[in-house]
This record gives sequence, C-alpha cells and structure tokens, in this order.
Amino acid sequence: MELKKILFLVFILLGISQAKSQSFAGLSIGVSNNDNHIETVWFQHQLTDRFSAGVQLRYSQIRYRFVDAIAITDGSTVFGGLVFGFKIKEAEKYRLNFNLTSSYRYLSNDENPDLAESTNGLELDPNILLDLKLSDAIKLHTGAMLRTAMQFGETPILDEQMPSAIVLAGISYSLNNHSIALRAYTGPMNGATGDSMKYFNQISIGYQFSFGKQSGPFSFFNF
Amino acid sequence: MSTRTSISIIFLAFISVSGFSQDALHTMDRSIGFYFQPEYSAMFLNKHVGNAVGFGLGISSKNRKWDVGIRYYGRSGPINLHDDYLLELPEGETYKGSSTITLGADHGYLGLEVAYTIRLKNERIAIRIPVSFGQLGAGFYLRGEDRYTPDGARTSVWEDRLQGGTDAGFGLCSEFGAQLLYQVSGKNEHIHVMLGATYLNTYGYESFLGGTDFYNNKIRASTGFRFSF
Repeated sequence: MELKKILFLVFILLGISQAKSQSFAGLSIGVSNNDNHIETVWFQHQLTDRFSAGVQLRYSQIRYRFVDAIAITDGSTVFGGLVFGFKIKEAEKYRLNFNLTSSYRYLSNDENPDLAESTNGLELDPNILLDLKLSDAIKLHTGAMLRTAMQFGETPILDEQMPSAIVLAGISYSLNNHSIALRAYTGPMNGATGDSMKYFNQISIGYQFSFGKQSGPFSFFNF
Repeated sequence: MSTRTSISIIFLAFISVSGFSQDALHTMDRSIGFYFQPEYSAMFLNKHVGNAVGFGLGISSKNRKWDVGIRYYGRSGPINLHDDYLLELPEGETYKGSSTITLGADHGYLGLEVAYTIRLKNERIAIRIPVSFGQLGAGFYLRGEDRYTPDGARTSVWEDRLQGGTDAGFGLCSEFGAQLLYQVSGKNEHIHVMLGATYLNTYGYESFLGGTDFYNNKIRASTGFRFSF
C-alpha cells in the first residue's frame, strides 16, 4: 500500500478518535417463527452527535423460511450487514431514532432437494425507534420495523418481503457501561403474492458493552 | 484542490465533531412533535371477530392538537386461526384428494391519517378524533399442511388455480373514529393508554369468498398505547 494511502487511513482513524465518541459492542440470542434460534453480534461507533455506523453478524437455524418463495423448515442463515443509526430528536426523557440495518443474507437449504441448496438475498430493516427513560437505569423502547427482503440469483424475488407493520417493544437496564435488554417484535407480514411469512414474532435478549466518552443518557441498541 | 481531498476534509470535519451538548436538548420541545401508537384491534366482521395488529405513526403540530401520519395494520391469518372458510371445489376437482378445502383469510390496510386531539379539563385525559383513507388488500389462502402443494409449485399458484384467480383483491378504505387517551403517569406526559372505536368502509373490494361487504360498513374496537412528544 502506498505511503500516501496509509497516511490517509491513519488520518481518518485519528479523526475518529478525536471525536472522543462512544462505541458499543454486543451480542443477543433470540427465537422467532422464522428461526429456532438466532444469534447476533454487533459493533457500533458513534461518529457524530447524531450519526453512528456499525457492523452486525447474525446466524440462525431455520424454523420456517423460504427458498424461491416455497417454504422450508430445515436449514440455516448467515447475515452480515451494516447498521446506520440516526438520532432525530433527543430530550431529557426520550430519544427518537431512525436505524437502518442492511444485511446480505446467505440461506442454506438442508431440507428440500427440489430447491436450490442455497440462496443469496438482501434484508433491509428500517426502524423508527423511540427510547423512553423510565428511570436512570431503565428505558422503554418501542417503534415500528418495516422489514423488506429480497432473494437474488436464478430466481430473483424482489418482493419476497414487503415493508410490513411490525411493532417492536423492549426494555433495557443499564449500569455503568453495561446494558441488558429484552426486545420483542410482532406484526403482520406480506410479500411474494402471499408466499411469505404472514405474521412475524421474535423475542431476543441482548447484552451490550459501551466504551469511550458517554454521549448521553441513551445507549444505541439495535438487534 | 482535488475532489478526493475536498471529500476527505469534509469527512474528517464531519466525524471530528465532538459536540455532545446536553444544553440544546430542551430547546426543541415545542417544535413539531412525533407520535407512535401501536394497537391491537378487534374487527367485528359478519361471522367473526377478527384480530388485527398495527400502528399509527406520524408528526404532531406545535400545539399538539393535530396529527398527520400513516396508519398501517393487518388482520393476519395466523392470529385468526379459528376463522375458517370452506371452499367447495367444482365437480370432479380435488386438492390433495379432497373436494372441500379449508381456507384462512387475511387483510392489510395502509392509509394516511389526520387526527384532532381535544384535551379535557383533567389534563391526563384527551379525546382524539382520527380520520384515515387508504388502500386495503385482502384474500383467502391455503393453511397448514395445505401450503405444501402436491407438485411442489408455489402455494400462490394453487391458490390462484383453486379460486379462479380471485383469491385476493384490493380496494380503497376509509376510517373514522374516536379514541380516549389517558396519561399513564402524572410525571410522564409521553405515555398514554388508548381505547378506541373506528367505523370503516371499503370501496371496490371484492374477492372469491369475501363479497363486497366483508370489511365494508364495519366497526373495529382497539386498544394500545400512544407514545408522543
């Protein structure tokens, strides 16, 4: 790598560290009517007062998912994606955020030999998320997730999942730099001319560690 | 200065902002507000009380009297498991060896919402009058094991075939109602519980088993929360 490029990268890293902002690392486990179990790990960095960016990795064992819009009940998925967090408004007792998780999805079909052994796709999870402070340690989280998913490859299905009316609710407890949270999603889903999840339920429990200069009373929490 | 250098400088200036000031947080409280209302609804249909889940979401005027946003909810099949519809197939036609199949029904609504809120003398209580107009989609679908088709084709292919291509339909829908809002805690003005009743009409919706009055001229009762600031 050229010296100029190395200096450029170092300069960027120095710039980020100059921001003296907060970073978050966490993991969660959950269960949904899509998956028997889901494990998620993430790292998020506060780039400015309003904007944060990070990465998220997820693995799941399938309960009921789709290959070419045909249901399968055995297999696994791996998601890798970028998470963007944007703070719209904040006051003493609440914070309003818009978060977008954009994930590449690899799905392995272990059940139906008539279908492709694996598929690739994209999942977009735009969230409007409201954090409400119940006490210094306890926060209530609620909002809407408009999940959108698509399958690529030989049989592209761009409307595999249309933005749906999914409600999320959660509660978190924070002590110093440590937070734990319980989060649930529920709501109807639609897409692929009806060959999709018709209703979505998910419950997860997560742990998050924050480091760096604290940027406010509210932690980033998106899983 | 090259474009790359300019972008780099802008990017570095952007990420180097370290102003996590708390002072500015209290200055926006009387600006445009925000509301989010997750709700459960019981829909009083012809032969069934349907369960529906969804939300209203949008912005509020500076005086917090007017809301403008979207309303999005659905009466999904898996939360209406005992709402069965029998379909008698034409003479000589069968599906997995049966001439009668049991179908589930579902529905979704997405519309624009405008609401006016009247705060009563007791400041913890308010009456909200929402009006909404948008699109409704609804249909009938194969359930359970019947979703695994005999030839491995997509379920929707068989649903079209068995119901003559009219298994689902779309139409316009209007809603008008009233909601009672009660502030849960005197110390927190941002959380209310909500009880509501809504009258809905559909325009142009028709499907194979649904008829034109399946969702038309109906009432739904709803309960949920209102989170607002």
